[in-house]
Amino acid sequence: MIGSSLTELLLVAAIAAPAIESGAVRVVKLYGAGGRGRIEAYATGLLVSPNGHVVTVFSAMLSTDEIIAVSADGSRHKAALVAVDPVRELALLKTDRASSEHFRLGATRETKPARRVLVFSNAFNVASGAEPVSVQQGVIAGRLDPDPAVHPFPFPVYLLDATVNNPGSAGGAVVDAKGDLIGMVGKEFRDRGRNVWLQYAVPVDELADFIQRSLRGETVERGTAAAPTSHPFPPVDSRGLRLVANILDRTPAFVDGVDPGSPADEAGLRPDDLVVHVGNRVVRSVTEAREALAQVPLDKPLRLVILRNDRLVTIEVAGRQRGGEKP
Amino acid sequence: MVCVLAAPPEPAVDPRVLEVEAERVATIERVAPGVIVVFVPGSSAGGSGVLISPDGLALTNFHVTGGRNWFFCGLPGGRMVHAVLVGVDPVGDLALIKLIGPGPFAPVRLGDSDRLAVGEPVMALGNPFMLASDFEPTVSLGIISGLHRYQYPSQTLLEYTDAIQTDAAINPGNSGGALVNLRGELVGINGRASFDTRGRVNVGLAYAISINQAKNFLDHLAGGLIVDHASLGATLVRGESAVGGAVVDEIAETSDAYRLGLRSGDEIVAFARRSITSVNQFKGLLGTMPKGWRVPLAYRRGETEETIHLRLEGVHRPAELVALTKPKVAKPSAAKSVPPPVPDAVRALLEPRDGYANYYFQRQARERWLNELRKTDRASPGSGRWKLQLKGDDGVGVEIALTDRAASWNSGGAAFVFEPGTPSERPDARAAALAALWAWRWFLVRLHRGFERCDYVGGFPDADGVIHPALETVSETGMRAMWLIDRDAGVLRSLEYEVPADAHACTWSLGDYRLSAGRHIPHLWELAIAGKPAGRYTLTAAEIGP
Repeated sequence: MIGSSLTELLLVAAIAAPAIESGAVRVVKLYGAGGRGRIEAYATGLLVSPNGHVVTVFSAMLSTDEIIAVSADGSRHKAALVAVDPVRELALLKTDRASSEHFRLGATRETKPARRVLVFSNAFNVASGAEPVSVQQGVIAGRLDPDPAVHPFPFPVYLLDATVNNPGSAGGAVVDAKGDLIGMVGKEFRDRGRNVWLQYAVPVDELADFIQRSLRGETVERGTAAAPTSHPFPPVDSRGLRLVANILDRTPAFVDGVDPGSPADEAGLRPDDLVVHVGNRVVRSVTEAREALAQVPLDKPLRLVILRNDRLVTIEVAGRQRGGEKP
Repeated sequence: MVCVLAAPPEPAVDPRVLEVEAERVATIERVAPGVIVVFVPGSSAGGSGVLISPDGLALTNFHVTGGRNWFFCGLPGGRMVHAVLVGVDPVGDLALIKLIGPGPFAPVRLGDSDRLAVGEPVMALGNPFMLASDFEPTVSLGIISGLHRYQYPSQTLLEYTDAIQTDAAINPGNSGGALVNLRGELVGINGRASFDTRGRVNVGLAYAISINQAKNFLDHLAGGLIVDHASLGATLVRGESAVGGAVVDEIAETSDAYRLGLRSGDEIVAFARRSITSVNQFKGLLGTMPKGWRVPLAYRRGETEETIHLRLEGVHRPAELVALTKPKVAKPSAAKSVPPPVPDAVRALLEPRDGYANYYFQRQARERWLNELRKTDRASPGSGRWKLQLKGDDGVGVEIALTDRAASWNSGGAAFVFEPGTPSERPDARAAALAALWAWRWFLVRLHRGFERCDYVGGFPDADGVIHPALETVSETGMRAMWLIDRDAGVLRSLEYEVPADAHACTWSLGDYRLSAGRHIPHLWELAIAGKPAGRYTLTAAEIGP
């Protein structure tokens, strides 16, 4: 009977070993801003080019100049944010570390349910130094199409049968038995009505599309004007300010976009600014920001204090004249 | 009459898959009888445990015992028996208990956790949510998600420094249960999991104490002890290089490491025969060892590399550790849970004494190993003069004479005498070596009666790193000696003799035992001072007693 035990071991080992070896070195541990409340200061990222490009989830953690990427060998590298896609909530970083070990996002095929996968992520920051990230096993349980009634993602997601969305898991790698990338672990997302956490991955095709667009300069870059693509998030009011979607409880009040030519635009408000004061009131989340903004009459000037590049900036947004004309 | 619809034909399944399934079922059938449920009397608390010997010894977590010293245990199938606490390791979250009652007890074979690989399938067996009313363990399958993982302690206890991480479902109630490989070998004791705001339910990350760590403590636990973990007596920081080794930052001058020459700024390159590449790795390894172990440590200072054999300090002061193991003050809601009186069956195996988990097992262990030593001599060695003729590796002969009052060392015409009780002018290596030989005879003639104290102190490694059960004696004058006994042959494997203050400990490792006139006598004598080899001798002739 020992022989059969070895058979299983050999079967599984033959499948898993190369995938585990390659997966571990193609994933990085990311550290940035946060560490308070629900915003974790750590996440995972995928190496996607020989020049040190990393794809991860776009989150508040990246709103700092001090993003650090730690490789499997424990070496630490500064990472710069080069492109974001606020709609798909993806971010592209660049480190200075060249490496031949990276995921290839070339030809991908549709991944069918029941496919066995391995998931690599730094959940709970268990791998805090030179240690390899955690590996979990699971299967693709299904595919969830875009459905605003269920989830806010404008793209299909793969559902997994394992608990892979934990603090720090976002940006993790979902690979098949050969070690090829199938998807990226998304942000923690909970259906508050049913109190169910979604275990899902962003398909690799979405990642590939994001990277290609970024390299063509099509996605929003940090600190520039509003994106040309249309936003699913409506403006808060006619001042032209758009806040990010309230996906997590107490999502920080990041500016998602600013309508060109609007009072907010002319006052100098920019995407990625973090609203911390509305008038005299401290706001700690999108919900609080919306409530505070609703208190200020549209025809009165609006004073905002925002955090940009770790500095607080006061923005005075002019009041709207009645009838919508500029003052 | 039942009408059965025609069933669709069964899909073709690869015969290897069926074979693997059948093998897994067979493995579980073999292992499950060894996984028990542990109930804390007078409370609703409990967890799991794993039988490791046919006479009923079982491992569990310290946090499952809740500070109590007896338990009810459920065996798969529904039978309930009493169990008594044997030993505890609060820092490492382990406890050893003994089930009381007629067997048979079906132990799980211990594996080798050093051979585990990330991605390897493992199974967790235990009683999550205490849901099994027939005590059959729940089985969950997963993989090894990571090795040598660290989990922060609760103050100083329950620190997992070298844990096996798995995604096999582990929930409250699994604590103390088994993590087995596909061969059904015990590779870990499940004890912790990462819980988040979703409550105390599995989210795919759980941690087990490796079985190799448990093996380092088993001898201590079996002796009724409350075991402390090792500490270096120094803090470490990351080295300068990109990857960063482990460099000594601050070091206590009272530590053995300092006494043997370790200083701030030294880079640790190897510890316990493993190369060291990071502070985390060093701390992980250190965390698997009991206090008091003597292990080799290699360090680099500039261009030179040195190896010392230091005796590891403890994490706690003894009284501190004992206080931490007492049951916590009951919450008001649990105030009405008065523990039931100790049953008679348990009482016979329970001897509470401050400083011990269960003094009964201390006494048993001490008697057992003293008896082993007695047995290796058919007749008790006489208390007359003993003589040994040794030949060193350099070819030089040494004649040693041992009596109750003195020991003499004659070599190359020069004689050296040691008399116990008279302080040497300057205790040097030769004096220590001779004093140890004098103690060797004294101990074998009198065993524990020759000393103020003789205690069983657990398992300690010899010069090659092999762990042996050990007795420790303290003489009236305060001289300490540690006696390592071969657990199979019952002969003395090594004796470590400590002289106080500035001098260093002297160790004689004894090997190549041969039977001569009814006595087992070592023919290989290896001397080490503070762990450093200082001479190797073979026995050419011996006169032992009467």
